[in-house]
Amino acid sequence: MIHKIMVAYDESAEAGRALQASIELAKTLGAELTVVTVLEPLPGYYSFAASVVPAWNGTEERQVRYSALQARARQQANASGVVFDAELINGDEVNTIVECAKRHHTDLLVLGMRKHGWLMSGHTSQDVAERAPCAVLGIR
Amino acid sequence: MFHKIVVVYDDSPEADRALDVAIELTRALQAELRIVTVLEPLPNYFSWDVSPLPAKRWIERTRTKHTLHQTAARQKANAAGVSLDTELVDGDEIDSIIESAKKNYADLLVVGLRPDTLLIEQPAKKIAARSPCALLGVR
Repeated sequence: MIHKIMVAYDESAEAGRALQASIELAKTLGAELTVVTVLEPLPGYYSFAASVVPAWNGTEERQVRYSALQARARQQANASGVVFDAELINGDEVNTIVECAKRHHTDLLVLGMRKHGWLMSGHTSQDVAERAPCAVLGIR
Repeated sequence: MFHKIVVVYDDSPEADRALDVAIELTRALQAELRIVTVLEPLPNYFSWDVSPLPAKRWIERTRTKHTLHQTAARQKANAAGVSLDTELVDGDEIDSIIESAKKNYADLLVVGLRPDTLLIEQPAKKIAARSPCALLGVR
């Protein structure tokens, strides 16, 4: 029933737990795992940074950091023998995750939930859960 | 990974889908499965009644209805080779579900999501805010 699992992953502790859980689930269910990380455009006020540090390139720096993050996730998955696929996409968080889930025909979308937050985990998880085309697993 | 799975169950098709997924997960993860049904509160219009009998009959009827549903669920689970505990509770929907999850040390709570309905109108959202464990919404 669940053949394709997708997990929304970034550097937060919640996402780390979500990744751990989805690797274990994918292993026991024999499912494929896709990790999706979204690079959101930097907030507008970052344009001021250019006047102070002209050489600073935030986008590239984050791209490198997130690639390293995904590489670590890949190692973790490979250690458990799970078929692993990673995607790093530029765009709006919620839209991108939902689109990605649709494109991959995902059966289960795994999200991290904040432990003591009021409501799911801020608005991102909530909005994604609202619009996801498939089952949603929130890990606490 | 998940050892105790609790399904929020009632007579809706969403709950049935949630149960299907939970049975499959339970089998794959070799976990324990439990279904919780919350009895809906007595409709207000019974307060207009002169005698308490219709209200009593109504309570009895819903209780029987849900018990039958739970028995059907148990048969379905047993057919899939999974044993199932059932629980029928009276009280506030969200409170009872959270209480039951805590009491049983559940590590996964499964709820059915109505398709084409905003999350904000669903009990699943309130459960998500207060759930002590992981939450799986099945669409």
